[in-house]
Amino acid sequence: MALKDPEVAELKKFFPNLSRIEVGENEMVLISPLILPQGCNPRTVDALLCPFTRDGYTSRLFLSVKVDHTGPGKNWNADGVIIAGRKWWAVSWKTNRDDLTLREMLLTHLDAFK
Amino acid sequence: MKTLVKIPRRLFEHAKEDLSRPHAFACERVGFFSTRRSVTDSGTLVHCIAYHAVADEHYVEDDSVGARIGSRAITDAMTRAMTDSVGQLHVHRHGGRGLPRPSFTDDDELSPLARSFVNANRSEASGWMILGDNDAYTRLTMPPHSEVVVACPVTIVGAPVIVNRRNTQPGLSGFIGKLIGKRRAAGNRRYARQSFLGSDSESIIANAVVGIVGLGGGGSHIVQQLAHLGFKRFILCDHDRISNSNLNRLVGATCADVRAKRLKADIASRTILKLHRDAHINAPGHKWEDMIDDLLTCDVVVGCVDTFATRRDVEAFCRQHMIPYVDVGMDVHSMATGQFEIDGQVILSLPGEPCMHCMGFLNEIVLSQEAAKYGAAGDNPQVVWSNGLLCSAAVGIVVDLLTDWSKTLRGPRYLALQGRALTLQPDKRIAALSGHDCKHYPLTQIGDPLFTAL
Amino acid sequence: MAAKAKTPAEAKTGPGNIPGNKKVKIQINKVHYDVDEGETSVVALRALANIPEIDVLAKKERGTFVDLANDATVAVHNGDKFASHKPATVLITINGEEFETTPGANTVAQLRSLGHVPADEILSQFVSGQFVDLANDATVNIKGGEIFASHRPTGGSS
Repeated sequence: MALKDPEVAELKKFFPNLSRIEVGENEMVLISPLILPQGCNPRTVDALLCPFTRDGYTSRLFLSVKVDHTGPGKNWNADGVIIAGRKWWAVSWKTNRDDLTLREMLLTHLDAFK
Repeated sequence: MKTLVKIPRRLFEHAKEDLSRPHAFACERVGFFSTRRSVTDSGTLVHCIAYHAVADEHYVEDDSVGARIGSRAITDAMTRAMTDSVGQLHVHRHGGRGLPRPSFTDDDELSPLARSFVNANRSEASGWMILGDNDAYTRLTMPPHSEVVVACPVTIVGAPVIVNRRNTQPGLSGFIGKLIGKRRAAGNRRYARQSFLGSDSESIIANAVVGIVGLGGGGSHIVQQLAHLGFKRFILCDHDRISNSNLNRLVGATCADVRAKRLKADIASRTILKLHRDAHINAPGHKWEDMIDDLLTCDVVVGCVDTFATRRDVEAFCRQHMIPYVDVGMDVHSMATGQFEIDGQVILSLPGEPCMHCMGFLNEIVLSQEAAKYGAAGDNPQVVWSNGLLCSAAVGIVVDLLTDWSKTLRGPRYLALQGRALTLQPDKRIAALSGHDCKHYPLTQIGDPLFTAL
Repeated sequence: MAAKAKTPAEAKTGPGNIPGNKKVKIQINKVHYDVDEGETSVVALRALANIPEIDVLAKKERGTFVDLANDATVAVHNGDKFASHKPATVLITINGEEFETTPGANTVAQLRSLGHVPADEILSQFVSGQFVDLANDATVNIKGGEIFASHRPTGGSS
């Protein structure tokens, strides 16, 4: 599924450094850099937002580094997986909704680190 | 590795067919391959990902050459280079076996022409190519410094795989080198019983690079059989150490290995070295994710991994870099009657052909079920004889892929094991996928990932 | 479906805006914005204020505006002032290399000379998704960012 232009525009207002990558018939969004909430170490990472269903999650946020943080997302069940030629890490964090815009999706995933 | 060109077989055959069509006034035809690269520390793979015919009206009449294309064909190629972020290879056909050679016209005209494509996109490899029956001559201009690479190795990736290595040993090139190789082989009786695999099979097998991901119950069988067959170049990926519960199936392992907590990679290496002291083995005891650059040098990768997610990721990697992938696995489950059944699969996944998602073997249901069980997976039942059945079939596929001995392997394979009946049969879905275009891994996404700014 | 109404804070909140982070007030072209304190990219500030691609963003430091490179990051503090201006020259690409030229009418001969295009090659411009050949006596209106590439007129093989 292709990214929706209005959602991309909305996301870009707050996170301007966006790229997309095609993965089969779907697209993921690279946010480089993404500044994580306070309490994360490191705070500046690259992030790959997967807005389609993958491994039972309606969406996922992959980070370029396994960050230390004080948020509730503790289960790093994507541990150095290869996507688009790079290693990524992700915590288990369900958004429980499939109607979120890209920005809402990203902010919901960031709740795992607050 | 330096520079290697890869062409999917389907694309190669399509190009040859198009270039063989007659033209109203040109003696030969011209087309273009679009290219993308995979760059590693040891070199660059240049993938041909699409073929574009030149329209009849874009030729210029000129009796002094075989074919001449005009400005429109050239600007169309430049436009593709720019808009699709690809390189462009001007391609025409000379036919015949072996490595084609350029004519004087080709040398004079095509290199200056190739600069036009570089002018449009300097980030990908451009140049020109001459197709033979099963090989291709190439002259490439490589980014980032426009280095010119001539006659690099070309692999036609499909069933069968044709790996055209370029012999770099002085005094042993071409026909003479092959003749000496054959005479050496004739004196070596070790492989006399497998001569039916083809007169070149011993050299093909000895020079093939095979990656094996997972060196447990499945991978250990694969390593052992490949070594016996004469394979000598291995990339072995597994970071695990052997434990007591592996001894029921890890071929080549001993009690001493368990006491020593030996790496499975070391056990596999030992198996190979017992047969080939001159083997080239890259087995540092790392996960496959940490051996990406090494796996890019493989002619084929065999996956003997535990999870659907890992299978998905390894296949995705192999598809992205145009490497044939053979997947092997088994599972034991209880039936409604309370009895047990062994299921297993051997799947050959080829670039441009149906993938494990297309075949229905991988799907979101099994991946999400597996993810939901994370942390509570427990020990999956495994036995040596079903591993052996499946892995033997996988080895047979690898050998056929490289030697084409059977002349019957012409596309993907999906063999399903029914353990109680001890049968290994083609899954019914594979026949229904004939001619199917894979949407999960389109050829246009091959090469290093391309991020486009939003 | 009606768009959700924005609060004043949302209307002019800045890049990487994560609820809960400390905000500071800055000015870009005399318009006030709330952004996260700390390092931010010039790209982000440009996007926030919708600055045209060819314009240059500058930051006021010790009473003087200093131009900022597009790929730079800048420390943002409360009260910082930024402003954009038109460049004296613009960048165009010829055969994959960037060149500076004055915006406005440029003859093809000038562009060929600028890009060292061989005399026996045709200069073409990438327009509306296609390379289009330019006549040697033509003129091109340059705004900045245009892409040109040269090519052989024909190609023979045997």
